[in-house]
Amino acid sequence: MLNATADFFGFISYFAELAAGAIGFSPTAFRKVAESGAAQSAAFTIAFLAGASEMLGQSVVLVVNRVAIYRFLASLAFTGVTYVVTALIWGLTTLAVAPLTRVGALGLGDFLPTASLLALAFAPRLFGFLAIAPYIGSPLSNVLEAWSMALAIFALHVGLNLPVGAAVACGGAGWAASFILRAFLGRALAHPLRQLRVAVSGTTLEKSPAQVLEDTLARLQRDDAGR
Amino acid sequence: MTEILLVSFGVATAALVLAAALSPIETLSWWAGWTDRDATSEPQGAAPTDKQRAFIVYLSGVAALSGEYMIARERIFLRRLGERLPDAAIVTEVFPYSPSGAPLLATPRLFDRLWRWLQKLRLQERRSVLKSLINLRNIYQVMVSADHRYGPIFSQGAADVIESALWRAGYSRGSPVFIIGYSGGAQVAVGAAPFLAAQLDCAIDVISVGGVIASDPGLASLRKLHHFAGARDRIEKVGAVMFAERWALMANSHWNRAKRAGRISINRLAGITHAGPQGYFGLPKLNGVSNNETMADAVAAIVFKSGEWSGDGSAQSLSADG
Repeated sequence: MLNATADFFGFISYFAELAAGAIGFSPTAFRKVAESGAAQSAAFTIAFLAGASEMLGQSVVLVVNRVAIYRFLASLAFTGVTYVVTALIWGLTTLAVAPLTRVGALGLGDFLPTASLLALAFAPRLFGFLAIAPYIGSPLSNVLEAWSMALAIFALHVGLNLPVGAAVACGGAGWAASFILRAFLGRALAHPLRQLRVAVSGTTLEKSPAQVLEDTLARLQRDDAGR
Repeated sequence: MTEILLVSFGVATAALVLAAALSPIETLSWWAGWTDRDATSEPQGAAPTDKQRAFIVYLSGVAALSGEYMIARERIFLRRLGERLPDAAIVTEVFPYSPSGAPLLATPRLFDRLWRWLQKLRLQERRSVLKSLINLRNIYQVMVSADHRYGPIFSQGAADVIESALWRAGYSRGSPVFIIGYSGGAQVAVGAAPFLAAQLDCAIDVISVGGVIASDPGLASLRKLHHFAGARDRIEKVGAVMFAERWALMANSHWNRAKRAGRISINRLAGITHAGPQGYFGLPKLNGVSNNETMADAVAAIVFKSGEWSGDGSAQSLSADG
């Protein structure tokens, strides 16, 4: 029992050190992830928590649609998982693009370190929950996104010893891949994704606050006409 | 020494951002139904009458803890306004910085003990930076009201609270409503306007006294926003700069559209600060008249000029020119 508790706190401390290092552009943090299995687990945990935090920041959508608390928590976890999946896809894209640069092909053995490095680059988004702050939240969220993007390039440069140009190409390709996936496959996957979202959150999450305003005003006007 | 200053600055900034992040939680939990919600309903039997009174709702500034506790200057201003408008009903009980209208001193509240302690400091007139925590908390709620994500939700709650207070004051459907919003109260008033106009089927005028107002969709539902801005009021100026959609550059914003439509009139007041003895409700007399009296005269004139209501107890209608 004591060992388990010590292990848990040890992991938390390691996790915090790694996240802080990543946020501060520390090469040591990224090199650790490139080399150590424990650091790779911590990096994927960071990506998961960053996703959950980001969703917490956007939780107004969940609350506006009045989802139950357990579904609210499930939505946080669902977004966390999508961040881990994004890191994996980004890693695959990097492997696919690397031969096109002067670096040459990266081996399949490089997949896990690459995906973990990109997962660690999500570290600034651990503060994604701050997007919930009124008025300053949205610009803050954009800053965190830009920070993560810069870290992804830095991670590939430092962790895999890629030249800056190749890191930009691979990082950019990952971002482009997610953009293309959203643009072209989004429509094809819209139905199953919508079903998954409904299953998790219990609603289509289609109502925005502005629609709430419109709905309420329309209802009040109907009531008024009926009086 | 520099290190200590930097760390202190970092900690203070982090605390401010964290407090900002927590500030919409009250609104979100209220909307989600995780906290109690009182239904607002028109009293049975209330019907439009021939004699319409003007109803004036006063929303205090960000130093407010509840609708009941007001500083002496505000109380004197409202008394003077009542003397100038004897037939109008003045509603002062609304606490504007909560979607449920729950005052900071109400229980259960997460930090009710803190607010009570700060109120005690204030009553003892002890100087303390901590007293500004109340202002900070309420400023965050103004930002919640101004945020396009939370604003519609917050404003719906604020409108419900104002509506309930109006029914309790004997409001009859269709009577004109004037909301005086001091400082952040003006933003809450503008945000609530569309809901009130639809629910009460009446014209809404907002009288902003040094109001910190965003480019809110509610501006489109107002008959008029009468905005008083003191020449030495820095807070009002910060609002005009902070809410970027008020800049002339944003020609299609709610603010600039309302301005072009003539729904905003701006009255600049020489020498007036945001608060204190030289503020809008200041009591010291200059040339025989205080700012407090000047404001009471100006607000009463707006109510007279804008309303079709019986100012002297008869059913006469006042023309737009008074």
